[in-house]
Amino acid sequence: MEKSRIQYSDGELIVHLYGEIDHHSVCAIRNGIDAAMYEKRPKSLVFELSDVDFMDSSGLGLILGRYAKANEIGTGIIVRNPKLRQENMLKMAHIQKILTIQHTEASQNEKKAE
Amino acid sequence: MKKKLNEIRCTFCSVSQNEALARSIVTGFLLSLDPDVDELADIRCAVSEAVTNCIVHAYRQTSGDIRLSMTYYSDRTLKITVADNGCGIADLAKARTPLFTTAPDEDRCGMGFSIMESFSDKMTVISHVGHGTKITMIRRLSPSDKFPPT
Ligand SMILES: Nc1ncnc2c1ncn2[C@@H]1O[C@H](COP(=O)(O)OP(=O)(O)O)[C@@H](O)[C@H]1O
Ligand SMILES: [Mg+2]
Repeated sequence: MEKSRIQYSDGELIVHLYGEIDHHSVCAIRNGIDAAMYEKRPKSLVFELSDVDFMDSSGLGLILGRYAKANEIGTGIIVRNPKLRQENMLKMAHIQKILTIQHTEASQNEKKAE
Repeated sequence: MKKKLNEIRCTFCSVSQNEALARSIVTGFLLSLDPDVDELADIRCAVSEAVTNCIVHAYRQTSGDIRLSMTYYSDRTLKITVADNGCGIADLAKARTPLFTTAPDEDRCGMGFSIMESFSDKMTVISHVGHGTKITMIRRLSPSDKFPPT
């Protein structure tokens, strides 16, 4: 099952994650992200989490593990639209200093519509 | 006196596909107890962490059995154990420290134990180097209309 889609636009490399993100799924995703990041050298590496139903510390590891490489080539990391559970988990690992958590308007409107 | 109401014990191989299987077993076992959505999510995550640790750490470069058990009591407490016969943990205090990991180059972030601890009321770890590790987690589910306290 497809767990991620990678797309580049306007200096952002957007990694859209879907479904359940655990150690098993992370292993299949990681190399593709790194390859795309080195190819595009984006301004930001964005993890779009609005469609993630489950994530454990392996997902956290995927995001944090990109930091050293991203930092080296001047790429910032953005986590976009995490659900409350995932945002709390990110905060537990004290990541606020090294990456940005963002909630876009589109996803907020969706929430209202629900 | 609290009574044991239900129990499941299962053994599966240390392959990473079984992380999702373990979560499905948790959901299946707990569904009839009408758990709160967040509680179920907490428990699925805690079990996922424990099972992943068996696969990633205990049976590193090897493979073996993972034993998962869940017991449900009349006071709505749930006891979960996850056990392996893997390498064991030499320094438990260190292993349980937030952000400590022995596998940073594999994108482990050292938050597994912290997550298991925060998602259970009580977590205990017994480990013997060369013999294996057993995690026990206790979590009391909030009351449900469908299951009045007995
Ligand atoms: N079942 C286990 N068998 C052997 N070692 C383990 C086991 N579980 C955890 N560990 C050790 O404890 C450390 C911390 O575990 P954890 O908090 O889950 O972080 P992570 O899995 O990200 O390394 C691991 O890096 C590993 O060295
Ligand atoms: Mg772990």
